[in-house]
Amino acid sequence: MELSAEDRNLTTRRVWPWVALAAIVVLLIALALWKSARSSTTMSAAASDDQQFAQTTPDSVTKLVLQIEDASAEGTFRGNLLRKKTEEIYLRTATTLTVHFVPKTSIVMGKHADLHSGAIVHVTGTVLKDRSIDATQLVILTGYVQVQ
Amino acid sequence: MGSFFFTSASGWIASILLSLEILLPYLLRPTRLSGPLGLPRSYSKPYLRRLWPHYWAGYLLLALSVTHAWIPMRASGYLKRANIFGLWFATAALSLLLLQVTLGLLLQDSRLQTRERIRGWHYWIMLALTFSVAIHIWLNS
Repeated sequence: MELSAEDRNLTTRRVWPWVALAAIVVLLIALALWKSARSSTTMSAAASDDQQFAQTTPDSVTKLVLQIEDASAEGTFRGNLLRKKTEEIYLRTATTLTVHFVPKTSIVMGKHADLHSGAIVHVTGTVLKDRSIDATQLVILTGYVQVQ
Repeated sequence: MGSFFFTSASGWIASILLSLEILLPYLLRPTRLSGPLGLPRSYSKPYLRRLWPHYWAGYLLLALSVTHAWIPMRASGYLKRANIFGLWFATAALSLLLLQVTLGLLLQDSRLQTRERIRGWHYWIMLALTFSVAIHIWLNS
């Protein structure tokens, strides 16, 4: 039986709110997955180990994971460079580094108060002439990774 | 970091499902929301049978919420940084969700004698659950 134009129009009007609702839900779920994947990727970003860091030159951009040993000075902390073993396990190295940051430096997955002794931080920054790091982004990994 | 992804994704998807779960009964019966959208004209089955998306979204929400709680509990260290008050609200939300599913199962019976009273509880527990989830998101996300 063929539907009249009026019936077809009525059916369309009945269906579109459900289609719109389904589309909104699918869009929101896709957004949630994207946001979660983005945060997860930020946390598992590549990082140099002690040997790779030794080869960096001043003014080059580097990514490192450190465990903070001393965060007493304002805008600076010292930490032990960690080497990645697995996504969630890092190993200590013999290298200690100083990191400089300013209030404008981006802090991801945490806040300024999380930069304390024992904290684990992923640092993105520029290598200075004295081999310290001028940080542009700090990602707080404390609680998400373990140090052996 | 897979644990982080699954915890985060399951939490946000559960929040979306919770919103959908609350919205569906208002769309599936004549209300000030469904009326202007022309939905009452499409109602051909009885209300309790029309509510099947609400039932299944509820079961899926419970499964997602348990997964969302289970993953960080298994991954050592994840909960150390988390705000403890936020976790208490999350625990309350999960308990309320279990209670909501139980009440929902009772309400599926059209011959239920105490329908009005249980529907009232279902409504107020929904508000308490939404409040607990909002506080959990605020303190732990």
